[in-house]
Amino acid sequence: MKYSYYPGCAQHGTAVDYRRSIIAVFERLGIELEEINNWNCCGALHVPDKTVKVALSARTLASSKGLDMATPCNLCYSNLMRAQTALKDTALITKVNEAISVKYDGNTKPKHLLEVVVKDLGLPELVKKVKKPLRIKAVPYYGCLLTRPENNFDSPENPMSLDNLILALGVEPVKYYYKTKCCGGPILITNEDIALGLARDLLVMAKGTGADCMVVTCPMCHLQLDAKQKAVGTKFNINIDMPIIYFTQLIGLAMDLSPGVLGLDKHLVPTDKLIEKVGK
Amino acid sequence: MPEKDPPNKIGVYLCKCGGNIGDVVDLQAIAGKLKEEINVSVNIQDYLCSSAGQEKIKNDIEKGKVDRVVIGSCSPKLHLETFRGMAKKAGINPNLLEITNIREQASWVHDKESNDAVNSKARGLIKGAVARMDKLESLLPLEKKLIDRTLVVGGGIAGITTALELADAHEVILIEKEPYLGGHMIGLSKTFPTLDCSQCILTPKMVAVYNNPNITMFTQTEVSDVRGSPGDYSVTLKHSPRYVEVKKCISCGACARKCPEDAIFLPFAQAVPQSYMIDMSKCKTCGACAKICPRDAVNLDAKEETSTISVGAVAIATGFEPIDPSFIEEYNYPSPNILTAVEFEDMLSAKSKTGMRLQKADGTFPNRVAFVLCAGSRDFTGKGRKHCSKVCCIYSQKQAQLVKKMKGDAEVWIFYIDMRSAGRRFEEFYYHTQEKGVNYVRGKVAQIIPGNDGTLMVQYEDTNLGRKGGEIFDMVVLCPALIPPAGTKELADRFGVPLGDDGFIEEKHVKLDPVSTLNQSVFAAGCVLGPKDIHDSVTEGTSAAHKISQFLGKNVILIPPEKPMILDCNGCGNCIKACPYNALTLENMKATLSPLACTGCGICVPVCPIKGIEIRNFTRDQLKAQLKAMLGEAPGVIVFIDPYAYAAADIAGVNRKQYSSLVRFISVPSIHILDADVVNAAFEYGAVGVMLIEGTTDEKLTSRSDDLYKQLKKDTRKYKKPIRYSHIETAQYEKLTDLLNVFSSQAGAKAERKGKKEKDESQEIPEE
Repeated sequence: MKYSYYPGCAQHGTAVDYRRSIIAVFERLGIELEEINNWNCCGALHVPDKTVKVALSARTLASSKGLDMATPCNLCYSNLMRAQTALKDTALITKVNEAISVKYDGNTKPKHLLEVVVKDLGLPELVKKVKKPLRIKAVPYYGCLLTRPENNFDSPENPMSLDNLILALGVEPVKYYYKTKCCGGPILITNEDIALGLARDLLVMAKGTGADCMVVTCPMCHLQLDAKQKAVGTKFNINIDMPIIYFTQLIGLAMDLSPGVLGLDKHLVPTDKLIEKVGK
Repeated sequence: MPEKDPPNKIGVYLCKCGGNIGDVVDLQAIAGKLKEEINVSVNIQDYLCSSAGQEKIKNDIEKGKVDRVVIGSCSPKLHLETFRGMAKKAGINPNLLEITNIREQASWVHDKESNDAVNSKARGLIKGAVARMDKLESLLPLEKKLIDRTLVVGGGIAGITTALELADAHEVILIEKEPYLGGHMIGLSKTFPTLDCSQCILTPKMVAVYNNPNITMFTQTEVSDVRGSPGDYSVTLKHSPRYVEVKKCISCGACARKCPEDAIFLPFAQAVPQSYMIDMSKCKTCGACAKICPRDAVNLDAKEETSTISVGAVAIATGFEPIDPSFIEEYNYPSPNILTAVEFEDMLSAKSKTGMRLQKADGTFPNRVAFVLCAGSRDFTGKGRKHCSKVCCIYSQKQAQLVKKMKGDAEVWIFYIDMRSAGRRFEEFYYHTQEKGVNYVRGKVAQIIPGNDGTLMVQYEDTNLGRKGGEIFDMVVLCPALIPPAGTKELADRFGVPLGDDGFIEEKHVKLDPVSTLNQSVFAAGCVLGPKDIHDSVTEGTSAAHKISQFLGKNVILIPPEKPMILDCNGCGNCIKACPYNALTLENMKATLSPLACTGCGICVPVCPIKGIEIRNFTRDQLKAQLKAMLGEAPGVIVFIDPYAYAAADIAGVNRKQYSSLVRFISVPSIHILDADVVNAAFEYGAVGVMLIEGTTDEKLTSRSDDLYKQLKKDTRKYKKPIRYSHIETAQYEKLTDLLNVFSSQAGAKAERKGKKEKDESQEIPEE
């Protein structure tokens, strides 16, 4: 299995832990991710001009070399998907192709890494690579952009793919009704009060389930829930202490990879207790 | 054939139908043209179905002005019987009156097209009908003796009412799927708008059913097979085992006290029949119950049984089922304290498992209760159902009142889209509920999020205040869409009764013939015809009983006389092999018909190698005459259509669903009467395409349709014109119009191309 790989900016910055775990895990899953050359920003959330916004993603999609394009980030994925839908409009694709130096034929399929593992590889294949069933409880958190407005692999209202993946690793996925609620990440800079309030709701509900960790699929969610967890605790005077880990890190732990290889030492909320529990 | 002398005096009567036809079709112009071109008298009336309109036709017949009648009006499904009754009284054979449908098939579906197109189509339809009428023969309906026994399917309030009302004068067999009578009603607490207790008013009726000598009742019983024909059905019933013999059990309860697994029980205290039953999923077959039973009523070896009954009429009263709201993922049903209104009712009813106490999952009383209306109803996204479930507005308010009555300071909220309290005493009930201090929020609930402590966060939009909100509740009651119960389609198919696109049974006429179906011996009552309250179910049960009584009272059933006639026979036996109903036999080397077994499907017509079989009044000669006259007016797409699909076209008309005015329907008893002879004639006379559309669900016919289609395609190849077959059930009118449009545009375009080519190539060849 081979994909052209669009890492997104976080992979080379704040989400180095995510990156390490992806490299380690995907190599062992036998999935080749070929990073595309000279990629650009996906536009994140706020590009007001539609043509520019679509063109940013079109330029990326044009570099796929005929492969499906995998991305680890919910924001990147959402933008690629939306651009892909918008580009069904032939007038727009002509306009966009004038703006970018390369020519996009409109035929690249964007895929989130979660979809690659759950749908393309399949959970039965994943289970074969599990060396150590983890015997913990985890909160599946999809974030708001992965499944909405819609994608090709899961329900927008009650997605289950991450729940099933967690289950396949020997982990109990807890019932979590906030699985697609916004973490507040996108408005962290513009309105910190609201952003931290949203993160608090997620974290308090997650804590209440008695889970050992929260599993995420997006570097932006991770930043908000992990790096800002202390700020949430201080602002609302609560003690949370909830490790936030990437789904690839969870797969890595089940493959019995060392925490260092998976970047678990790079988190702000300590993962020691979790690693200790898993180690037993 | 001998020359007809004197010639037929055909009268054409056109109806303006208020403006329904007259505003779209230029009837005056049509009348002028018809008089000019063919030898008929033409008369136009405002309302032909009115007594004045009928009187006009009757007078003309009685004075000898006309002896055959063609009416251009609404669908024959509405008034054909009325007009034929009139014709009979006036002294002509009823079969010599036909209706051609220029409302549902012209003015209502082509009013967006040019006047020329609609007028030309209407002229063609009428000319075709006149040409066929000229060749029709007088026929007398056949009579068959009726069996004076009725099967009522469903033992809810509608079925109970039908059975009791009928049982005074007729024998009734009532079957119920559950182990007890009462249907959904016995699972209700209080009934709106009077708040009297459901079981108090229902139990006496259930007991009356049990004690009535004219009613045989079977519980845990379903229909598994149907044979025979209207008026004379042989129905196989499947009885699931109860493991306790109803007739022997005196419900002393000794068995239940002895059972170590709680597997033997009385469904509930007032259950009818009063008999214990065993839940085999719990039973360890230790035999303690059998040993203790003083009446020897327990039979642990009971097996599923079948029995066969013969009945003349059937009443379908299978009620409804609530939709499973778990498909509305954002409502997170099922979760603790999120329940459906049916579960809420159950808790407070005779069937209660909580001792009629309203309680949360933890056993305490809910202090804050929310009712969420339209959970799965009034949903046009394709996920839920489009229809309004009708009773939820009122019963949710009743349930709100019950909560307030049980605990005055409990808070109750109702989230609604529109509060529909139409009906006697309902608006007053709505007002009274408001007085009780129930909160109403107009807006759809967006999400219900269970918290870790068992509470529920309800997020909603209040469209009156124009703001979004969130409230925490202890209990949320979803009012689910009421939908036809599982198995409705199978049951309806067995009796040849069509369903609407919502899955409920289609009534013979939406307004004027409410409990009858397209099968003259099958009737329906209650929620299987659409959601409704107890009062309306009882009204329908009573009506169905009346209709059945009227039907059975005739002692005989009239069978349409359009049967095969065997004109010539070489004794090859093809037709006998082909007939799916064993209606043909070989006697003295000649095929002979048993008309009562024959359904008139016409499969025998095309298989006869010497064209010796014709269906009366649908002969090749008659159909060809109709085609020639119709297509002589203007070319079009000929659509041969059976009565079930014809009903779909009528629904398309009622819904004003536009389709190509090229379409010309030719009504046939079944598409299986057709052979290449007729289809080739259609092409010869100028059809740009031919479609065969059938709606019957009779597998004996539909299983042969593909072969028929292939054969016709092969045998009509020389015309190089498109031909298509499609199966359209009555409910699928949208599929029908889509299909007609696609086919017409393809066929029309092809004809145009071909026409151009021929014109270019052979301008000098004179027309034949």
